[in-house]
Amino acid sequence: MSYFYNLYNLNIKSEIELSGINHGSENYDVFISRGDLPDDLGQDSIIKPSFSYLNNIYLLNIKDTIKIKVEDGNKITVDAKPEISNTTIKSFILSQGMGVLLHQRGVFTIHSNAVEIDGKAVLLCGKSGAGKSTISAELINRGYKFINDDISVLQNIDGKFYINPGIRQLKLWKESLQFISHNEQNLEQIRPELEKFRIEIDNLSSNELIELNRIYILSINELNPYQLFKPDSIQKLKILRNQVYIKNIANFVGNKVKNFENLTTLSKTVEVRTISRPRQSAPPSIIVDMILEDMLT
Amino acid sequence: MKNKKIIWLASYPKSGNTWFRAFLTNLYKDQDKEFDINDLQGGPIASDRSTFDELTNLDSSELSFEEIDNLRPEVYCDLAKNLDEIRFMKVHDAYTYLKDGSPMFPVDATLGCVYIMRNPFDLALSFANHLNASIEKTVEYMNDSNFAFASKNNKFNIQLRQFLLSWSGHVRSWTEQDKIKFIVLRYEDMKDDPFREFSKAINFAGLNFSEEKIKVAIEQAKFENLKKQEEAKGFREKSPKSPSFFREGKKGNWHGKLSNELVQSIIEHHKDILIRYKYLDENNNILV
Repeated sequence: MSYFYNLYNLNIKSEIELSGINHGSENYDVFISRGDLPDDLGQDSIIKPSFSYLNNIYLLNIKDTIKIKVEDGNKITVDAKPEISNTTIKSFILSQGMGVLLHQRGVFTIHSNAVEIDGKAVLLCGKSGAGKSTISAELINRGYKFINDDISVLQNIDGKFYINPGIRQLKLWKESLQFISHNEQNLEQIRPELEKFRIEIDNLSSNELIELNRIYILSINELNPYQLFKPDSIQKLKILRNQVYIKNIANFVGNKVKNFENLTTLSKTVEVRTISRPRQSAPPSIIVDMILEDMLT
Repeated sequence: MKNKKIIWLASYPKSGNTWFRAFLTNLYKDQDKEFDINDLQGGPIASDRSTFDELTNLDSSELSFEEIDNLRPEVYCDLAKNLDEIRFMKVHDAYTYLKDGSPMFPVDATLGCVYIMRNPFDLALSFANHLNASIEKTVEYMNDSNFAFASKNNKFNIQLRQFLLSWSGHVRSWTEQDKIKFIVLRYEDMKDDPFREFSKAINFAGLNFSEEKIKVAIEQAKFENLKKQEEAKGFREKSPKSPSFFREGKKGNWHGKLSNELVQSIIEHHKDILIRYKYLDENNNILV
């Protein structure tokens, strides 16, 4: 059986169901299938913890769980045992699979959630656990529209950046579900081993390109929480380089020169802020208030 | 051999690991530079999640515990491969093995281990403060051979899961293995004669520092200085649950503060190791 999707403006034909992703045309750009894969790409390849890379082929190997091969920006092959759940396979396809594929296609991506505020896109960046999703949840609660989770695709059109909406489901840990009103039936557990869920969001932005206004980088800082900082242009470039999706892989998978040009333009044209929060029990409302107040400046 | 560059600074929590790291920091720094407790050698801890994510290019918060464990040895090997010199790395995990029998802390990346231990009677008080838990609950954790940090799967943990085992299980795991060479430092000996004990560790690591430099580093890293810095500017490694990280820094402080019941429970659960490391004699007399 084949499924047809559209994600990041790419038409995808897939042998694996990816629930929650928009339907697409049968005239596909990317093909996802199942197949047998080796553990790595051989001794001539670059071998790193979790993956190997050779000649525009990336091979992810999560031992005893899944292998995923991504080739030439248009083909993803999945090798997973029958007992591995579809939600697990979907998780890896949508993160590593699509992340690497986008880099292979030269697409500029930032690891962030995106929310629409006053008609423009705001990116929420930060390492895992920094609070991107709980802050997104609080903004959605306040009536702002959700654009996408995890990977934000940026298009540079005449020096202005636009977000091409991506995955429309928000991921939250069970403990954080309290921060968003939700229907239990709209929850999809991302992995059987983890109590982390994908949530269908009702209040979505349109599927059209949305102009990017501002980027917030969230971080945990126990000693100086709730500080908002406006970096200068040199600091901005350095900070933004660290926000590229799977940035270390991007260095040899993607188009380094084009990425750098985009980062340079981004640092010159888009407002960037860093915001810190304490490690524990930080109500997202405090950070959201800081963001909304800053947006007025 | 050329990639064996990591020296694990292994300890059960609250055993003196941070004190040793403060000493190392002062040893390595220029004399005229200020020492900062928020920038210590030996970090980040081996179970730091963002280091793992950086080196695997994965979001570990979407991996299972077992998948993470399977990748940790490769991560340490990759880290060691790219080091120019020896690196000390703090670790609270017990020395554990993956399903395939290989150690979490790989031989190929390891130069050795400095194992720091502290008597469990004093440790219980310090650990209870750290966890913001009752002493009874803390001793329960210390007696539990399945005790682990960051083991809940319903929320984000800033660190990766670490199996601590019981207190004596932790000691055994590092000191009864035959895969990597190690040296044991007792906190109590470090308090009695820091120059002798810290010099042992420096010699073990194959490092070359003068007696004078070691003595100055010991003086700069003394407990009062660490406590003063924490009071002035905070310590980012302190648990958010506890009021302070550097409490008393004494040995034998447990007297009068642990009930007889708890003392007996500790002895019952950890007797062999208590005797082996001279915290208890054959007649059940506590030697600290």
